[in-house]
Amino acid sequence: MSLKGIKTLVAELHSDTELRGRFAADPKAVLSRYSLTAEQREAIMGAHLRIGADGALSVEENAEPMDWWMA
Amino acid sequence: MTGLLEHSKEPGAYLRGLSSLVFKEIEATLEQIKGSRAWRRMLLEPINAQKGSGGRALLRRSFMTLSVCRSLCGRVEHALPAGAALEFFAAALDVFDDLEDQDSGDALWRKYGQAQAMNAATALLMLAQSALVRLRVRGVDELIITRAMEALASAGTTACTGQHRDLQYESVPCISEAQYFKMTGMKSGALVECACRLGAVTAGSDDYTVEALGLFGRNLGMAAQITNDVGSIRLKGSGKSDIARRKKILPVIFALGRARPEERGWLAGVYSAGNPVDVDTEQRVIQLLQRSGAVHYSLVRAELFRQKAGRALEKARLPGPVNRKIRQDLGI
Repeated sequence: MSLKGIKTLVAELHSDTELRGRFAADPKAVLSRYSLTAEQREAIMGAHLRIGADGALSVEENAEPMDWWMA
Repeated sequence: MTGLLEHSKEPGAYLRGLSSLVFKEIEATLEQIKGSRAWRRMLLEPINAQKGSGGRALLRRSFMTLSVCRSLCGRVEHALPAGAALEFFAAALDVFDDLEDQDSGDALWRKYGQAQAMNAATALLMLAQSALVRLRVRGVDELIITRAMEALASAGTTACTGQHRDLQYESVPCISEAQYFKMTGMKSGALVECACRLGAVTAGSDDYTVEALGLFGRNLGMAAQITNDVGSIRLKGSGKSDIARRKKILPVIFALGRARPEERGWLAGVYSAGNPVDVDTEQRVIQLLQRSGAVHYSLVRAELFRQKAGRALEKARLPGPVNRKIRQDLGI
């Protein structure tokens, strides 16, 4: 399973304001332009990515629900 | 006892109920130790450190063993000695790890000295074996006890091999993602794998189910470790973050490969410098990790491991209600 598509998408999302706007509006359309498996698309959507009203991108650093293992 | 083992409207009560049962088993195992009360208290300290205090006091590591066993056979009694063994075993590894890394402020060796801490860690390893032997008290078959001992021994040697790699990597400025995942799989994945294997073994499962649940645990352990790596960034300014300690965590490895060239060079310089990472530099590294997408990428990788864990659970071909119980307990 190649991870190149994920790495490219993540790097571009964090450096390209216009791409972030399109991702916020229609994430599936943006994801379809990258070489990603169905699992990878699902993982990207499940990774707590947030795009603020000002276009700023942040990731929720939320350790839940893995807290049961890591103190 | 049964009331403690049922999910209630308050999940915390269920977790604390299981946790207190394991703690009683730990105390019963400790009673076999000859020596002063102070010595037994010392052996309990690394376990209590993991448990925490107050309303959130939980023995998290053994919870997985109990959850898997209970989901498979409807009871936890057989898993209690295995859960206690896992807690002793993990506590021993923690004490050894603190001795090797010398980077924890509240380590056992700081309070009692290195020789006493090393001796306590050795005793904890022996107690893990003693706890498994107590499966006999509960009438567990000798073959199951042997399989449980094999699972613990295998996890121990794998975790030590992972630690060997980790110590080797301390002298190099950067490692590859493949090296990171291999090391993390051995250190963190192996322990969670062991927790699941012990649960399946003590439930009397066949080899196929034990293997599938072991794979489930390994992937869940990887996901938990990556999430923990990202969570460590939140300890910024305390001197305890992985950045302050120049740990080669996944976000840093990503940034060293994918950030802008001038930022990569600066980060490589921070990681190869001999002097301590000051608070300002730590803050700049964290900003770089967030800005470059390194934190985002790491959480995507954690999510991929969670998916793999889910697929391994499906591969175990467990009855629907069993599958659902495990997922409910572990939040998968």
